[in-house]
Amino acid sequence: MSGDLAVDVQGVSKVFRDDKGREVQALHDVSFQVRRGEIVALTGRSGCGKTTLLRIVMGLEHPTSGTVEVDGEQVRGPGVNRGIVFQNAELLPWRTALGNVEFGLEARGLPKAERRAAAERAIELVGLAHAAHRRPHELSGGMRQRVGIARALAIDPAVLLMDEPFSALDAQTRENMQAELLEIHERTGKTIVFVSHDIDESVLLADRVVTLVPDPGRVHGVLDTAFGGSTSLDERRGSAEFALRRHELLQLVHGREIQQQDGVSA
Amino acid sequence: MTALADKAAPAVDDETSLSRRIRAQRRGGRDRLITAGTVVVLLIVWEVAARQVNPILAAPPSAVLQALISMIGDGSLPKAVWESAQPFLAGYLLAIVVGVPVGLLIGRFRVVEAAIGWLIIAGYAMPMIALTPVFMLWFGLGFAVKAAMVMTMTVFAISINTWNGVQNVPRTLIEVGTAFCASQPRILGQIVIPSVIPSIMTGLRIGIGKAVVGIVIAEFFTAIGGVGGVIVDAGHSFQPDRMFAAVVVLMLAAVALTGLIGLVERWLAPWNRSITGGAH
Repeated sequence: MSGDLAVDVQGVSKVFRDDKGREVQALHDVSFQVRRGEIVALTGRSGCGKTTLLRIVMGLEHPTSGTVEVDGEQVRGPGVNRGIVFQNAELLPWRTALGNVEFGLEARGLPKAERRAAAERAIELVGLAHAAHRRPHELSGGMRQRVGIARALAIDPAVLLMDEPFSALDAQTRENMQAELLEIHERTGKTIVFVSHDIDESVLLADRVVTLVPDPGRVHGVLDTAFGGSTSLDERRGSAEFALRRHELLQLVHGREIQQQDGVSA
Repeated sequence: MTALADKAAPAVDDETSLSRRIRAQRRGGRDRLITAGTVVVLLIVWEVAARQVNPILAAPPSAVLQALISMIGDGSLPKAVWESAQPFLAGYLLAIVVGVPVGLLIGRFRVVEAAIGWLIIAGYAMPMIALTPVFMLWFGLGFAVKAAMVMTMTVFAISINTWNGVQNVPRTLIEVGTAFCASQPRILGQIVIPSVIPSIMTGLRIGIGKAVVGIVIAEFFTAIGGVGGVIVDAGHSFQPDRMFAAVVVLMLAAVALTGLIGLVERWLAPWNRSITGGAH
């Protein structure tokens, strides 16, 4: 049953304590599943707990109740079956691009030669072979995020988890990176879960979009947004399906039920 | 093969960084010209003004230069510099050896912070000059009192900057270590310490200025040897040219040492200047 599930989130709640010691419910009874090879977006307005939810899957936060399984294993902390891509890449400034990719492999205790080879493969996969020996400050924002993706891919995880990976990039670079992510997905077949507050991005990239609404953060609906076959981003953007799904997703994000475009207002 | 969708992007990035570098260079050339201009103007104003006053009160740059040459020629200045340099280096190195580990410990462990954090802040804020007479009682009039003054003037600046650096290690970078399952020692060695290097270097740079003050103060009080001793002697015997010559030497030494620290920093942490530096 769970054999084809890459991520299984069951009844996750999270209660934080704020500065004044008051309890704040960030997430309430959140459940969703991600199948192997799927791209799933978590989206919602700010304060809906989407990043907290992703951090729980990452193992960087612990749920107050509920369970998370990745690749059939219960999550109790960070693990090697998850490759994490941070919002601002978060590269070590004193290491080269290649050195940063190797960082994730070092904790694994692989022999040096094997490590180097895996890092080189990953950096080639994201198209940065020519810049492998540059330091982060010599790279553009887009290139830095490519290194971040390569670092996560190098450890060959079951799932790639990305926290608003392209939100810090300019519009042009963001579009390039979105196209590249789809290519990487096609090449590697990795399961990808990403958080985005960008409706367009969620519809364009994801096969399914999990929408959350705030106070407390909970799942409001899951929208099927898969475009059949390998359509390009431009084709997707120009399609009627895109406009319709975008509209539907907006309804969900704002906490309304999906209704026909020409329907009466709620 | 690559999955790169925008093959043109890296070239564009190179171009922008190149044009930025050219612009920075051009501006750097102009800035240097302005600096040289103000130096020349200052020297002329000083020369003209100093010629108007009683020669036992002030000396023009030309006289200072002559004094400098004669003091180097008769060996008195090199001897004084050497006398100052030894306790200076000893005190400064001692301040690094003590200050950096103390700063790291305070920054890393709350208990240590609670125990001795206040002491470092108090020591940094307090005018250490006030302790000179006591130090003379404890350490006498020679090498030891000078080294001790340099050390106490410098160690707090180094500690407080290191401490500050540890506290400012980006939490997200430590999270990268956690996320990729790095052990605690690995996080310390691969993330925390490299992150703190720029702050340590800032402490060392500020420390140079403080150490120079320390050595001069000690030599003023003890008035035995060293560049500070030369200044006191020249002042007492109404030889402003010799006095200013010694002051110029102190200034050049401080600037050179600060520059040296900058070079070491660039070598140890080449990424830092390019991130925080105002080259943009």
